Amino acid sequence: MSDLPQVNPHNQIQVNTMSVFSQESDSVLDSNNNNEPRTFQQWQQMRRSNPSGMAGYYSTKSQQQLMKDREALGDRFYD
Amino acid sequence: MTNQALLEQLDQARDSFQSANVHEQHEIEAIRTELRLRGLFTSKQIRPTSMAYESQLAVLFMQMTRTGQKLTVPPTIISNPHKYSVPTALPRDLAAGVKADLLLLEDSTYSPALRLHQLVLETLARVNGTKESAA
Repeated sequence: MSDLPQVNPHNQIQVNTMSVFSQESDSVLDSNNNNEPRTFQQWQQMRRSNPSGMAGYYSTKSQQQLMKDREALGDRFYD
Repeated sequence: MTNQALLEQLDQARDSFQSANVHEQHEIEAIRTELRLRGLFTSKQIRPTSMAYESQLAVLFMQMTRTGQKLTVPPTIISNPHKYSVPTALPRDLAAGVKADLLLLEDSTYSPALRLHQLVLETLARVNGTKESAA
């Protein structure tokens, strides 16, 4: 016998995540990848999809993160 | 006359950057990244104008390795680049290029060093997905 409570399908609680976290994000602080370093190709995709703005590719923050990713990944940055 | 040659080289690099296709944009971005990694473009605040300048210089460096062209920057321009319509960061970044052994400096003329050739070839090979050695 399971210790898990039985769930009535009609009474299920719908859990809605905040839209900012449920969408695929190009933000520097991307919750989907746990801030794993991005590759050059991923950064270039961001350049095309989100070039400007506070979290855009050309922002100071993104450029600083890009350099950190380049240093973290080394030659694998371009894989 | 030398000032004019410098301005023409910068204009040509700017035009190449502005007319670059998607693939060429990738190459420029990769070279710009590698130059930044080696101590060029050290401004803390990155603005659209500085990004355009960085890309322009990346193109210029690529052209220097492809054609062997040199860049003569008279001391008057080094001291007061803004008076000659030259990007104010250019003297600093050329000096950084020399410090990183990417450029050779002789009599106010900058020429591509072997390390710059290798950097450009290896970076473009990585971006283009080829495994061939740059050696």
